[in-house]
Amino acid sequence: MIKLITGLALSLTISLSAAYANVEENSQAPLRIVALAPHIVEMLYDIGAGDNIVATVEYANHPEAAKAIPRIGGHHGISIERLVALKPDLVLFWQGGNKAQDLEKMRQLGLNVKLSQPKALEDVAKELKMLGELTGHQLQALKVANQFTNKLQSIRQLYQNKQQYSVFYQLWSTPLMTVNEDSWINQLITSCNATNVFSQSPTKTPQVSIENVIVANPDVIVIPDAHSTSPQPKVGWEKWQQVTAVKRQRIIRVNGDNMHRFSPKMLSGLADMCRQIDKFR
Amino acid sequence: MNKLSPVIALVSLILLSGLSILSALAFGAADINLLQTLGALRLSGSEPFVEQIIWQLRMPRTLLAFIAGGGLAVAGLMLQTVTRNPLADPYLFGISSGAAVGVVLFVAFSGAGIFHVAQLSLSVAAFIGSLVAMALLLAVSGTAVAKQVESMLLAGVALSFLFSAITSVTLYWSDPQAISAVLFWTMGSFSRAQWPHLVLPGILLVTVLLSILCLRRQFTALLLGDESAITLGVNVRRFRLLMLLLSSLLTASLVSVCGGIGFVGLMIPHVVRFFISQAQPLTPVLVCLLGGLFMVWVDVLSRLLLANQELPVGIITGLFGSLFFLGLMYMRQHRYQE
Repeated sequence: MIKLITGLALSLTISLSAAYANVEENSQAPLRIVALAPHIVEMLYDIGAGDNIVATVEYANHPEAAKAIPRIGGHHGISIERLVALKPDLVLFWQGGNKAQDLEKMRQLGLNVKLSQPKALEDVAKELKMLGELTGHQLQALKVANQFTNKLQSIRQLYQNKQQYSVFYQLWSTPLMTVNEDSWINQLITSCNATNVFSQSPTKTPQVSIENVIVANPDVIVIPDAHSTSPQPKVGWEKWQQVTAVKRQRIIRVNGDNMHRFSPKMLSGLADMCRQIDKFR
Repeated sequence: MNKLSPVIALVSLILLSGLSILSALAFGAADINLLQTLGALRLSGSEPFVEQIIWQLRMPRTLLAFIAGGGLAVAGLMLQTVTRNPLADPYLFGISSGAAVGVVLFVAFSGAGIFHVAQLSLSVAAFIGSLVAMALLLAVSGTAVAKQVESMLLAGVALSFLFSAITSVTLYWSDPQAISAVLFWTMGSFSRAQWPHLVLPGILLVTVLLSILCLRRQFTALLLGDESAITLGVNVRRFRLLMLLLSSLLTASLVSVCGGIGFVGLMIPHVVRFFISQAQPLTPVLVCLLGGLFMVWVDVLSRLLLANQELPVGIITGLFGSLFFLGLMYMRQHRYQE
């Protein structure tokens, strides 16, 4: 019996010291990050921590270097086994984008999970700073975050005294879909000092009819094109001359890849949309 | 329960359908009252704006709803009759899941940009999908009369699963944007309706109705069972294939423009059977009218229930239709017990 206890105690000591050694070793090795959303990958590269990413998800295609990172899942879920096998020091989880069950599982497995949960446009700066703290790139993160905040402010200031236009944001055409005020696209629209005609709709991405748009009578129609999907099938707006946007030929196309992603790059898409809307003023 | 006289039912359904289509035109996002609607219909002295909304948006939409409701209900009746299976409907035979595969593959792989010219391309993709499903079903379902129904049903169910799997696997690799577009499509909608969309389903519906009326002897004979029908001189195997072909074509043409709309094909024939005895030659017409009537009001609800946006039709047919049907069954059960 005594032998057994001694044996157990001994093995425990050995394994504990081994674990301790492991931690020691890890603190010297570079941080191993798994970034579970394209916008997190972009921000990590922006603050200089891109080389620490050991795995990510599909669609993390920016910057160019990100394309070489191994993929362990997509919006449909993540391979938890591969995630664990990578022994990450830090897992960055997108609250609202990734699957909630995956988060629970990762926490059960004792992984160090931190959440990215951007809601307002300003949150991009907050997230950058948080990532800076987590990866030890505080200085660079602060710099990029400030740049972002300044650029956002300057865009808003540029247009705040201009005439306010109402906008129909045509997320997709078949069926016709748009966004309400809960979507961050709504914040992009208001940043150009424009209003979203469907901001008060009860669902986040409402399906609407041509008649709804005619009644809403937007001043401008904005059609986002994304590189990853085919171009939107045509609606045939030219038939509806009673809509101000159609009559005055104010239908613009914007870069959906930039606009629909929560990273500093979003501002280039925003600036472009605001500029195009402003041309009509 | 006392059954209604089919002629009274026919006259009242025709009147109700006419009234419903007219009043449905007055409902929508834009504020247009019944008087303005009637003015626009007579093309006399109404604003061009009202006229355009009525003629280019609401009219094709309401008529498409009517044709879709009627067509799906008739297709359901045909399939239920020729397979003598109360659960048969176009969905059971994989026709609509074939259409869904067409749409999904189209949305997922049309990045090449060859087809993206018009809304019609989506419909064409759906139609081709249904035709493929139908061809597979016809190829697989047996030649022997004795086992034809069984193999049709089994092959249909297997095809449905196959197509759902193909849809799922394609969606699994698509981006969220494509997924939500396809999701909305599978829930059904008439909001994309344009006049050209009405042509094919309209012609097919009339053709199918006329052919059932002409072949009503064979149609009624099949209700008695295969043996009796054969004794009565019906070529059961060929007649069944013909009915399957016609109902599939009709369904395919509808699903391709309206998306997936469940319930109607399955339930409307049963509702009619509650009120009218089964062997009436007028039954197909009644089923068609009731299906159309039902769908016109479903579409009105889909425009009105949410302010400034649409509720997909499939949700309403599923929800309200099933509740209505359950209520009807409950009432009937109660009466029998009394």
